Amino acid sequence: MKKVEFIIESVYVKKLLGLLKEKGITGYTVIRDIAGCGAHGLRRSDDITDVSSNNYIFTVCEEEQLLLMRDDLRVFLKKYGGKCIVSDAGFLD
Amino acid sequence: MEIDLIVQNILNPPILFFFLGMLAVFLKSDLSIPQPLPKLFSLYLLIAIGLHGGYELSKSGLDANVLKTLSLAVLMAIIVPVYSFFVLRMRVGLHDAVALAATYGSVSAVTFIAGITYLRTIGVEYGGYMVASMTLMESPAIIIGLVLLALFGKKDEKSSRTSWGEVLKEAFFNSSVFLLVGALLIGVATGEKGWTSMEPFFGALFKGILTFFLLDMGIVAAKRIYELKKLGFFLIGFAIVMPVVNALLGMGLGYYFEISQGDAFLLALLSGSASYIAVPAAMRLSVSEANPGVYLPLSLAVTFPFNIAIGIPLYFYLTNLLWG
Repeated sequence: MKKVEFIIESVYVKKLLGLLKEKGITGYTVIRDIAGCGAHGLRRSDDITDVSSNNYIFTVCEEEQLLLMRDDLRVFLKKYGGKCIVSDAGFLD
Repeated sequence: MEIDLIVQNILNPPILFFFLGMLAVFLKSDLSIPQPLPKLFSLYLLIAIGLHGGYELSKSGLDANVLKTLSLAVLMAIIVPVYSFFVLRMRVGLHDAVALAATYGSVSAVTFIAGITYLRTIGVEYGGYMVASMTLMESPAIIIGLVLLALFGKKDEKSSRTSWGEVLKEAFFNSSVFLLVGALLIGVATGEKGWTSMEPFFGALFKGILTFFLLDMGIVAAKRIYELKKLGFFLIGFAIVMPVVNALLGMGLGYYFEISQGDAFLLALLSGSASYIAVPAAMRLSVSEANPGVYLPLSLAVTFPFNIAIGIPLYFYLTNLLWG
């Protein structure tokens, strides 16, 4: 199993969730208005405009599902920016 | 310019709290207003001006003068982004020029609110339908920006654009436009009785909530000032000169078509204001190549403070000269 994590701008969350849904991933967690620092400088979570706030999304899927959507995710991230981190994961029985 | 006008504007608690918010950032104070309170305040302000504008509109009705003023507002919302785009293209890339043209073609509700608060303070009348003018001026710039991009963008780009449906939805049903139109219609439908019942909350507390909101805006604007270093003189100059040019044009049209002084002042202020909520969100969706690090700091950290500190008394002074 793979854990797929995203850090993307708030305005693109709906688009990303739509893409995940298209690929059969319907379970996910969203944490809104996160703050941090990255390649685009400091991102705050205290603006009145959503344009400068980031969201954190994570989901867990089978490796085959990830391979199926990998290229689309690359295109998405190239167009809209953001980060995607993939790691091995498993559920505790 | 009469110094009194500037003093009257600045010595207004909400405006002073805006500068207090800026000062807090410069002095590295830990002052902050917890989210999502500022968002609640902005909803309150939109409902309050929508309801009050609707109530005023229910009294005045839709006559030829109102329609003339609304038409001038729409005209300004269409022409400002077009000529701004061509000015910007002299020094700025296509995508940033589109986003900036749309940002400056649209309006700032809080600047408008500061303007009507100023008029109330000095006792100058304005039409309640100016709230409708502001609502009408929010969205056209987004559409014009996308039309400009379609006309001047590369062919392969046009096909990969976000769908028009999505952008139109963002332009006309974004939360501020939706709430303003809704509150305005409710204000018209319920008239004096409705406004009287809501006045204790949406009227009496208005200045207090505006003060909280402007305090937060001061903090937000000051944090963005540091981003201006990268932008250069042309863009910072644009963010001050273009609003004045737009305001003068709006005022000139108002004078030519003989609208009242209060309405012309608000039309000028709206024409000279720049959006920092609705348009940036629409531009991130539709012109993702444009850098928000350019249009947001210019709108929030230059044009907004300029308008509420200097623009308001300056435009009022000029309308005083014209209307005598």
